[in-house]
Amino acid sequence: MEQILEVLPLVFNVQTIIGMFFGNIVGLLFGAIPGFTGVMAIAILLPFTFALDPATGIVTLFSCFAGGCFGGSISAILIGTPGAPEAAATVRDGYPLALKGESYKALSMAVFASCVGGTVSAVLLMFLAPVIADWTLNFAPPEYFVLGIFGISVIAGLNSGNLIMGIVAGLLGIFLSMVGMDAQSGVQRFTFGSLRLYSGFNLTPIILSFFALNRIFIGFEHKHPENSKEKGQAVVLSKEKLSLKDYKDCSGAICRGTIVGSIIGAIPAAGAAIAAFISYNIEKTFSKKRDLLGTGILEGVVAPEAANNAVTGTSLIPLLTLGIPGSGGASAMLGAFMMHGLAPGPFLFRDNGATMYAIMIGFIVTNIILLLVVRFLSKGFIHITRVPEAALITVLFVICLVGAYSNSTSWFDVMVTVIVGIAAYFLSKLNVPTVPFILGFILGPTIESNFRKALIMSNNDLSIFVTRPICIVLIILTIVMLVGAKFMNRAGAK
Amino acid sequence: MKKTINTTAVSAVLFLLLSIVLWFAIPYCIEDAASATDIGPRAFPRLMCGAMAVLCVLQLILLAIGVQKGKTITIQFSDYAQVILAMVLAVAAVLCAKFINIVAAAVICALLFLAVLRSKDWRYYAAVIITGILLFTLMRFVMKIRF
Repeated sequence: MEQILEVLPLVFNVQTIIGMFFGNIVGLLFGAIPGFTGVMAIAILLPFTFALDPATGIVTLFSCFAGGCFGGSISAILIGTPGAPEAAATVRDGYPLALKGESYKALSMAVFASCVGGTVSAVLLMFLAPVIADWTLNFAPPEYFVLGIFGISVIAGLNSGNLIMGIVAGLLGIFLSMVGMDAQSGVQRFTFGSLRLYSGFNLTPIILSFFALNRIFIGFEHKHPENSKEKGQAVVLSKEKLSLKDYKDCSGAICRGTIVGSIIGAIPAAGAAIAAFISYNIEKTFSKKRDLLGTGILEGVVAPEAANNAVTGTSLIPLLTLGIPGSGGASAMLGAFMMHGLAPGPFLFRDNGATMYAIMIGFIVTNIILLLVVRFLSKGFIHITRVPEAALITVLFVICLVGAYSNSTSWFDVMVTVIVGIAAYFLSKLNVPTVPFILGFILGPTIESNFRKALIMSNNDLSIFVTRPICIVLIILTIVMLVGAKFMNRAGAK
Repeated sequence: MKKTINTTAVSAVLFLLLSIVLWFAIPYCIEDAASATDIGPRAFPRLMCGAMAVLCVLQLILLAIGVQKGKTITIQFSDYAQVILAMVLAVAAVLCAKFINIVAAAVICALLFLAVLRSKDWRYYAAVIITGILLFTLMRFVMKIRF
């Protein structure tokens, strides 16, 4: 508790508060535009946070993450098109409510549920992450190697639907991370004598190319820039107010959604979209108004909304303690932590206790700020969904290129961004999953060094990876997760 | 011209070829420094290439015997003409950035993007230029980045 009080000035300063507002607004904008996501917003904002101290930078990016998670619901409720997959369940009752003339009510209650879900999830993160991190101090190189493989396999299986190609993408990511000097022997690998490649590829260009530039190129597939004018069937924002009875009626759905979202968030790779659909399905069973679901009732909006934002905090538990991100957004956040000098793992809380507690308190505060931002700026966000894609992708291209340069003021990084961006576009056309690739690139050095250390420990005996108790548990967990994921995906699809 | 392709099969073949090329490139690109205790810098890249190749072959076998069908898409090459043009412009912008300011190169490229997309609304062009000016100001005077 003392530690928490000590770090409050780190959170409640002008720079961090502005960062939270800015991050929330950017995340909401990207989330609200159909086809764009909060992850893309994190990728684009990432290089510009290097000038900030780590706590402010990470909190700003997390605000983007939380804002992006909710942003999809704005377009889901007001134009009947989810801005992001996690808002797809919200459309079922959100849009009918808006058509009934209760759009403001739906939006206000949705953001309230998101705020509750996000805050509870952030509190859970703050209290559970340090405990789990302490437990991971028992891990040795073999456990870390198996853990890395576990992360890539689970993400590959869940995100792609095609486990084999997902793992292949992850292996390619690991291979790319090996370019540069080998830390253990000092030998150069695939540098072709180029000094620029001695330290390998930077993470910022890779994240920008996969999460942002790839999407910009996709924008050129549309023939006419004015095509998005068709999105003009937006419902006008109504003016009615929420009553105490509305809050009381929705409290059960919000609680259930928050519990579901918090649990699913902690499972690597399960994701906000699955949490939202499972939460909506639970309402179909437990809600007093279950027969009215789908006709436009507030419970049908708040349950998925509480669930999808409750994922944001707990999805960072495996990330911060084990270095395994639970989603695309968490992968981008993992990159952000590493680039701010905060390597996730057991020593994160021991070596950066003050910064980490400041970040986690920031996560709680930013959920409350999200509530204010949506309440006061919701009218403005509806206009962004009408901006033609041509205008958006060209402006984003400028930000993307300049962001790649600002990371290390290197022309080479800009070149890498464009070349990898082109490759990412073709890979996405071939349905090759990109998240396992990014994860492989991030975890590659850890996986390799622990693999080699483990073999040194065992005198090159590979059985070390399947005979240690924690390794066996992780291998079983991998199998259980992959099988369980199939069921969760089916539940989500229903 | 329309063509239907099985993306799973195509990606498996591409990755298989890539892994074979990388496997044979390893001795030329990585010096051997294996010792009695350490497996050396070549072993892990080889392991990755080998695993990639095995998985790709497995994927192709699953497709061949019909256990998996794979994803198919129908592509019309003319739909991608603008994408290819945008990629060429993006590479040209990066090459230009070697000689002129990166912000200027990105803005010029973005303006050309708008022309490619046949946008006639002057506000989009203005938005790109204003973004460039704001970013230049932010980087030069706030982030203290030298160009």
